[in-house]
Amino acid sequence: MSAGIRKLVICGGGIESYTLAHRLKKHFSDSLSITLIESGNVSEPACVSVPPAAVNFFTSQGVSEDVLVGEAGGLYRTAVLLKSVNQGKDFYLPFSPPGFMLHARDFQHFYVWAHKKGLAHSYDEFSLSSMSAKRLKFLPASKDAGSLLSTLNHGYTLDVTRLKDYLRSKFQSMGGSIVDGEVSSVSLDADGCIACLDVHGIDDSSVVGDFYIDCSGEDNSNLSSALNASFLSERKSLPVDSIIRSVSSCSGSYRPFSSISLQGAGYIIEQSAQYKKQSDFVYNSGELSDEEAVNLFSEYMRTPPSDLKKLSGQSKRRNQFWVKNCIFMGASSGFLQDPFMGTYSLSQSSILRFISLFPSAKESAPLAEEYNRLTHLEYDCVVDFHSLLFRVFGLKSANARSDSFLGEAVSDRLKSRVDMFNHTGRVPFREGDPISQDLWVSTLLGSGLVPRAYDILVEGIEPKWIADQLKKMFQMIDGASAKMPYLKDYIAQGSAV
Amino acid sequence: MVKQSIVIVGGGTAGWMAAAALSNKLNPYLYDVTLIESEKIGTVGVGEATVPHLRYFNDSLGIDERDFIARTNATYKLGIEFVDWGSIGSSYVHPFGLFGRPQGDISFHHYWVKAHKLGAALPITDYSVGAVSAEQEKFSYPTDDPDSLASKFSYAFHIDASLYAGYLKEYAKSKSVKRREGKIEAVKTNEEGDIESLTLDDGTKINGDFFVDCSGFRSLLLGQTLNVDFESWAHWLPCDRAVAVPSERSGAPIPYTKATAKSAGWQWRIPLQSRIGNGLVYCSKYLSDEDAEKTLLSGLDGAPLADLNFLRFRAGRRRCSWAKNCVAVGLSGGFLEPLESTSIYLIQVAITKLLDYFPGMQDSSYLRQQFNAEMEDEYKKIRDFLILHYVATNRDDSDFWRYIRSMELPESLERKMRLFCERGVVEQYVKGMFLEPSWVAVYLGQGIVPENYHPAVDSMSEDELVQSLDRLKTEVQHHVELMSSHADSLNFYASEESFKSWPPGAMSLYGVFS
Repeated sequence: MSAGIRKLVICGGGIESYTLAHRLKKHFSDSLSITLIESGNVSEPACVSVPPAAVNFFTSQGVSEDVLVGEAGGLYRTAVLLKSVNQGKDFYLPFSPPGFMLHARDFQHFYVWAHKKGLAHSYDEFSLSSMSAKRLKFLPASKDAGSLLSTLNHGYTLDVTRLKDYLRSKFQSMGGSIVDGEVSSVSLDADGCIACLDVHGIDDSSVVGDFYIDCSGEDNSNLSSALNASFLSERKSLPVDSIIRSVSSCSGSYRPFSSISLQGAGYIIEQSAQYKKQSDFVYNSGELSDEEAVNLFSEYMRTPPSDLKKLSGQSKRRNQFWVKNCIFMGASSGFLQDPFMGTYSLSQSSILRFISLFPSAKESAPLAEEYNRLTHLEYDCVVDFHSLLFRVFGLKSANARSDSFLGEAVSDRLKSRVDMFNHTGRVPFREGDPISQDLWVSTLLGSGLVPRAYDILVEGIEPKWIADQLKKMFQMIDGASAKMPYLKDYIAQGSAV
Repeated sequence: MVKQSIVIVGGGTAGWMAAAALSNKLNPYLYDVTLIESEKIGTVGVGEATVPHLRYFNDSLGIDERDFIARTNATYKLGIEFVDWGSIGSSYVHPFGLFGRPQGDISFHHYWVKAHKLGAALPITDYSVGAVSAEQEKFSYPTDDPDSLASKFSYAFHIDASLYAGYLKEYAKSKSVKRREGKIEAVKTNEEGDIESLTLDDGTKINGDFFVDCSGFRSLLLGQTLNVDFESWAHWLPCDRAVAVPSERSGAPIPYTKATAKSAGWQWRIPLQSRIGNGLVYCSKYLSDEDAEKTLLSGLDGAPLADLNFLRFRAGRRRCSWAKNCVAVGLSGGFLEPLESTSIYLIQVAITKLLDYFPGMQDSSYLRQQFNAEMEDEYKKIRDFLILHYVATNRDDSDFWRYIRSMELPESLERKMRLFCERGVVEQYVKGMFLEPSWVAVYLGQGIVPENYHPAVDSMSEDELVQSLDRLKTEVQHHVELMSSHADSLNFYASEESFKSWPPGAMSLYGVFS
């Protein structure tokens, strides 16, 4: 191909950059030359949590679980603990859907039916991955389709530094080149595309490419200002803007879940890999001064304030993600907060989308248009899901006067989804939604929102039979999760083998 | 719960499919299902050619596939052959299956496009077990080995639609559906606008809580009573008439439908066990009924077996399929020409979604809203796919084709075509009848080859590429060689010797393992 993309430049030295660089090398081997500009002052998390979609992502990239959980120090994760969400009770948002279909009808309807008749169990008690997470236990999905264990699903909490080092050395050994330094200026060509980047480092140099990916995470990188790329605010849906971070070493009490809890005018999200634990306090600076926030969090963590790191975390996304011959990815694409699908998870799906739409020329309006359309679809859903999670664990903006479950400051998209759930017991499918319908349903039921209606066909089934089935399901799941090994032992065993 | 009565109006394919599915799923102690039909009103008998989803429908009713084949005079169907569409003299099969094998995240057709540009590719259908077995008139069940190309296709049937309706009538009656003979003279609505009762020509009044309108083009309840507007798509799909006639069978039945483009429309050929179904779909602005008759008769393989049956229609749909307490199933909700055998599929999804969103608890407006949104999506995605068949062409040999060339396309289709032309990208969606393999089949089959393929293809050397295509072709041929002829398979799978059960149905055009 004559006008093809021969040289690709990635800006930024974070985990997103190396994941992308390694993946592209896998796909294109030597037909694409990749230069990564590694900027010095990367401020990135110590741990990132990724949902089950990451399992396929890494497998197809050739990064095995032995690496992720072995040398890269990650942990398996099967649920997100939402602390005291529903009348003070904890809820484990599960990665494997609760219960089983009966008579080809979804389990949630039988649960709601039984709940209205006084069933004592909460929804997550019907999920093997919640129950095992609660007991600190873990097993991967069984390959035997008939086994209860085949319904399991997991994601990970990854150790960012270790994984990045692994991907970095792989990328280098595959012939990728790394330039150390900061982008100091951007030159555009006659079409307004990026022609080259001047890099200021130990040696000043000029990096030329056909296509550029900005993973620098900088709010206003040289690339975004050269291309006049702007942000849309998501402050209304996600009313937090500041983060205080604490990173500590882990004592080896492995937890197969991450957790979120409401704290003052913000929330605390805790995630741990094998050797590191990261706790973030996320809040709205309009309602809590930085000083108050630091004090509050340092008290909670029992850590001196000097060990805490202050970060900015405005909720926003790009107006356009792909502009001319440049894509903004990772933190450069925006920030939708991190209660479930964080920046790294979003960049994994952006990487897949970019590869499927990989251009064959510098500029391609139809491909850019499609990339932007699909990314917005996905971001819409993630904004809505995070916005829902905020309400579920009780975070509301003080300005939200309404006492209703959702409050006022949510999108019409989310309102209509929650209305639909409330009136029908179902969450409508949306094209491009990275959050499964099961997760939506679990979140809504876990928050204590019991819908007014459920599938009417449940009424046609013998009540005693349904009650017996539910009882059996609970016993099976309870029993199976009790028999599973502790995550700690599973990991120890794995490294012995 | 007070017992509810569900009234189905019309006893064609749609009516009896609805009756069978509702009576199978609804508890008879809670629901009465009544179907009203009249011997005085004929049925269109839509959907002689079906799609693989029908096997899922039959499976869910617990119907034995072999019994179904015997009772509906069915033959197997592996896809549709399109003749003279891209240009006069060209043809291709759109199979119920995949082409080749993807390499990681990259679909096979990108590799094919590069090989084609190098002059080293056979038609893309040569790399599909579904398409090659159709061309060679062979048939065997797909295997259940997900690594084998022989698992990457599915199949449907050509059936006698009136026999299928009769078969389901028996089934529904055995599940206590009541059949009422009679013509509907009047429909009474209450002050909220809901339908309350129907009066038959013998004066009987039939009350109902919920109504299923299967009255065909007349759209007696949804259109005429509830005044739901018809949204015409005739400016994109201008064919508005059809003339149909069965003809004598000549030779063994072939395992695919044939759709041949003509000067002002297209002609179908559907091979059943005992006869061949034929019809010409045409645009009355460019072709008179007399000329349509001539065209149809001159294109028959055997002598006609009945009088010609003329039909009039308009492409489009009712603005919503469910209004008040009435759901339209089949032609009463919309019509799209049978170019891709979508009629029975649209009946099936309307019934399935009705059961998914069955009303009765509190306010059903939310269920209705969701049902309507999903049906609209189904219709629009199919609409775009059908229009593609007309616009992916070089033809300008008649006023009809010249009109097609000049017409403006729906924005949703223009976007899809731009993406494909630029870099062979098929717009991604999960829900919908026709996914990537089908779009690729029509684009490439009708001569739209993208400017560029996926650049990752270049990481394979040209020699390697040519060799891998060659190996793939051999692999496909090997699988097809092992298959029996379609005629033999029809006999064998129906016989006592065949203890094997049939492969499971799925809500997919491409089979369980695709």
